[in-house]
Amino acid sequence: MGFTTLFDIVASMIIGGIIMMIVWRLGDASTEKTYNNSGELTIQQNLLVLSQMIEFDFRKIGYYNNWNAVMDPRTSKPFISSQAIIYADSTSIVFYTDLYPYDGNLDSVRYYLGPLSECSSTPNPRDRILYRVENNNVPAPSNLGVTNFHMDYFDVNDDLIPTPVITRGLIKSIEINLTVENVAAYDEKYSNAFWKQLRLASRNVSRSKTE
Amino acid sequence: MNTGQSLFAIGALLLLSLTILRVNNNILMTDSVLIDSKFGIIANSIATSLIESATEKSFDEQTKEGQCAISELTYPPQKESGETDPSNFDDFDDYNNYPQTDTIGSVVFYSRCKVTYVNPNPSDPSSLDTDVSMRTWNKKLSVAVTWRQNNQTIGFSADTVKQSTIYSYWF
Repeated sequence: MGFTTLFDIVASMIIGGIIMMIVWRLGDASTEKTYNNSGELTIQQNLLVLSQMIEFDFRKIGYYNNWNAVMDPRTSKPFISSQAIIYADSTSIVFYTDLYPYDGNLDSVRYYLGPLSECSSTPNPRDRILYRVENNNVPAPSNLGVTNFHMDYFDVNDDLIPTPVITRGLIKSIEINLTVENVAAYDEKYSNAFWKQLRLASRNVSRSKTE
Repeated sequence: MNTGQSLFAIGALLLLSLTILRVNNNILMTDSVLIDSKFGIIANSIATSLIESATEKSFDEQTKEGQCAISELTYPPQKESGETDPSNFDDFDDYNNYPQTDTIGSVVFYSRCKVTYVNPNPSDPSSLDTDVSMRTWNKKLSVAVTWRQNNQTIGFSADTVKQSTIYSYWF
């Protein structure tokens, strides 16, 4: 075996090795992108579902399908739409509305973020459960990868109201920030999707007389 | 290595290069679509927010304190002097030609509003899309939102999100 043949073998091994590394890197990148893109699609779908649900519920704050006055369970006096928000904090809110089947009775809806510890089994250290509880039902958890659910409340002059809101009748519009991340990601590169409803004004709250 | 072997090696490298280019192209295209749809969600929320804030206002400058004759409505729809942004807008017309810029992350979203009168005809749904040059009790707000990233990065496909609503007055 001459020197030229030996050189050919060594050179081809080096080139073959480089090509193998390129192919390996290509496969790795494809796997990463497939994983992350699937996750991205999932979080965008999750975000869309959540934003639709929140918009639907929040827009109907203070609504009830009854022409006649109904009694406010708290005061036993006729219900006033401007008093529909029972509790308002930066990450939780409770309000009265009329839920399906729209029977004209007041239902309470509560939104709140669960603690971080609830999702400790997922690789993402930031995900939490966003609860939606109707009346006195038992909260049903569903982890959609919510990492941020924050609300700011504004009065009729568009001034920010400090939370927790003491005089809830002052609330005329709500700014909602919602961020959703993957619960698991390739190489811990979590992608996120963000939704910001700059001003969501419930028809019944923003147009009713402040008491 | 003889000529035949060299040609085979060159052909194999060429095929590998083309495959890598194709895979990279697909990855970048998918990224572009995903980013586009992600920003589309934000653009939709900005458009909805503008519509929400506009429908909170009075129908017209003349209906703030109560009803008025149709001939007294503002025409063409426009804002009054001293009104510059939604914080001091007091009626729906003020949003006509209102431009808004929002920066979320590193992305700039540009919005523009247009308010027109429409004359809905129950037997002709297309009447909702037709602006009329007369005063009616129905106004239409159209919001267009578009976005740019780093002066339109190559391969990034920006689109325009359009939403509209009709605001009616009755008494």
